[in-house]
Amino acid sequence: MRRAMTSSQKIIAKAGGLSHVRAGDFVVVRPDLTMTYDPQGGMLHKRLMQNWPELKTVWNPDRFVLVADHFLDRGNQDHLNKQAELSAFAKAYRVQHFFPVGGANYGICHALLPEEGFVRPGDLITATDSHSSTYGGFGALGLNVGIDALEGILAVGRHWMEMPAEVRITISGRFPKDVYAKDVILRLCADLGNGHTVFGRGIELDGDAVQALHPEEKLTIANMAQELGARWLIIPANDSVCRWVENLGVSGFEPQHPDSDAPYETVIAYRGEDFRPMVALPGGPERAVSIDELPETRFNEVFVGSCTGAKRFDMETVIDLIEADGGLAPGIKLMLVPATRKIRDWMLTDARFAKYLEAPDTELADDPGCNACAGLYGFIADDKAIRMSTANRNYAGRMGAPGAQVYLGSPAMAAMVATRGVIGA
Amino acid sequence: MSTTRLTVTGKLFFLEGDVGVDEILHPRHHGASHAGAFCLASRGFTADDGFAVIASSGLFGVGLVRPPVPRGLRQAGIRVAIAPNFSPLFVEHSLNAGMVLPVKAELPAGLRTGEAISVRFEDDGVLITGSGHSFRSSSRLPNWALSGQTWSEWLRAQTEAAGGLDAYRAAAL
Repeated sequence: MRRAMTSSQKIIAKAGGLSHVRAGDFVVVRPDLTMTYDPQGGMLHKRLMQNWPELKTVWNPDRFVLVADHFLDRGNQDHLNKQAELSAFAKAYRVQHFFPVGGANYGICHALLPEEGFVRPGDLITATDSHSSTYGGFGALGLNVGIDALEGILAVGRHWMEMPAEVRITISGRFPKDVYAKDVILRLCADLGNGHTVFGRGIELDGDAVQALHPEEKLTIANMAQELGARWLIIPANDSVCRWVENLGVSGFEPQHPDSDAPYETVIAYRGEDFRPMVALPGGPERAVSIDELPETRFNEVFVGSCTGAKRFDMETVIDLIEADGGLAPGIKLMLVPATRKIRDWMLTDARFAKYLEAPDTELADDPGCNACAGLYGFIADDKAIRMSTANRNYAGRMGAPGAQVYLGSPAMAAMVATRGVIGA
Repeated sequence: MSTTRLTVTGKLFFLEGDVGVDEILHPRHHGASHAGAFCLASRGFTADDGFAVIASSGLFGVGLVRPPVPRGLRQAGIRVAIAPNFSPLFVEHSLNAGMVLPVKAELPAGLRTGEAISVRFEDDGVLITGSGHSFRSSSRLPNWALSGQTWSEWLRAQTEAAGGLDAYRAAAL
């Protein structure tokens, strides 16, 4: 008997070798791709040596990626130790896809993996970062897992999970021209964040307005499932995403789409025309308000970085809007942290960036990576900072000093702040 | 006749509303291994009082749930958590590390901090018995989680039973 399934259920069923799965099922799956990074490489290495001494190489080595992105302060011995641990792990298990600091390409895992063609529509991807849902932007199912889970995956290729109930959110019509992906996910965080409707659920996001977004914009939306309180967020891959992935040289993937009668616990409908540019007030993404509701706010810093604000599309948006608006406002410090080396290299050769990169109030990070997004190094915010950030989190102390006022917005919002200094009514 | 797989007894700590294990517990600010205890301390919990069961009337695990959080709860003495809904990440992290057993249940009125409570895991659900009241939950745990092993230990045992790493890797799911 045919059972209708959501796109996520189809991906999980395939990964579990099952004909179907339902909400509440316990399932053991074999992920199609796995990723871990410098915060956990050393610890994982120790556990594998201790618990799996016979292990010579990780399970499915062609589909395992090891990334350096969180601890990239070259003047900090703790960070250097983390990188040394990661290299030792890569060497011990002959990791094929290792992206160390200073390599031909390196940077934030959630930008690097899509850029390097590892993210395939229809795949199940397990990774040890809370923003692993990002891959849902390409129609893959991105699952954040802990180190215990990753140990099992790398040793024997097995991961257990409980299928959550799912929520389908559709956004019909078209977004206004000044609405970007970050505005969409901040609106959802404001409306639904950590509420009973989405808490712990899988989210399937679809509709004409969403599908018309640039593929990299879809990654930004899916990235913030955790901020919504959801287990994942997936946007079924349309032709645009499939072509994007194919242009990276990837083939043989199987995009999964929901059946028309797929079982959802809740269905929520929005109209694209009703969305507005958004700003999250300091304290959390769920504190987002529309630009029309934002009180007049004067900023002194703009941080353009992170896995939701430093991809090629994001940087293109920022530089185009700064140019169009007449350049930087006085008194604003502009901090640019490209997500990957490829993006940084492109910025250094693009004439539009040249005059801003030479300006005294503009700084380009030496290394692509997470930088101050996780508060670990780089452009750390001090107590005097009133910062517009393209990152995904702004809890107190997240980017540095607990007294820093960090607002979240899209790259377009960051450009607006960079050129005007003051925004809001 | 239902078979009892595991019974946990102890004192109950009751929380009204959601339980957040949030970014405020970021290791940079507080020490990850104490995250769970820190969270509860802000709500009046004292590990020295010997609580073994925690119940929340709201969502359990709102915010960011990092792997050390269930470990922190376990270090504070908690072996079972009861709530209407859990963060799946909390459940996965907790069961994988053999820390806190989650029980999904709507809580009856009258639960009080400090009362003696028994939580009996049976084949077809969970029976919770407190002072003068009892209620059942159809909540299930994966079979391996009731074996008393961590996920890693269970996989290790399966690997040995299959004849080694290569054989288990090649075996069907």
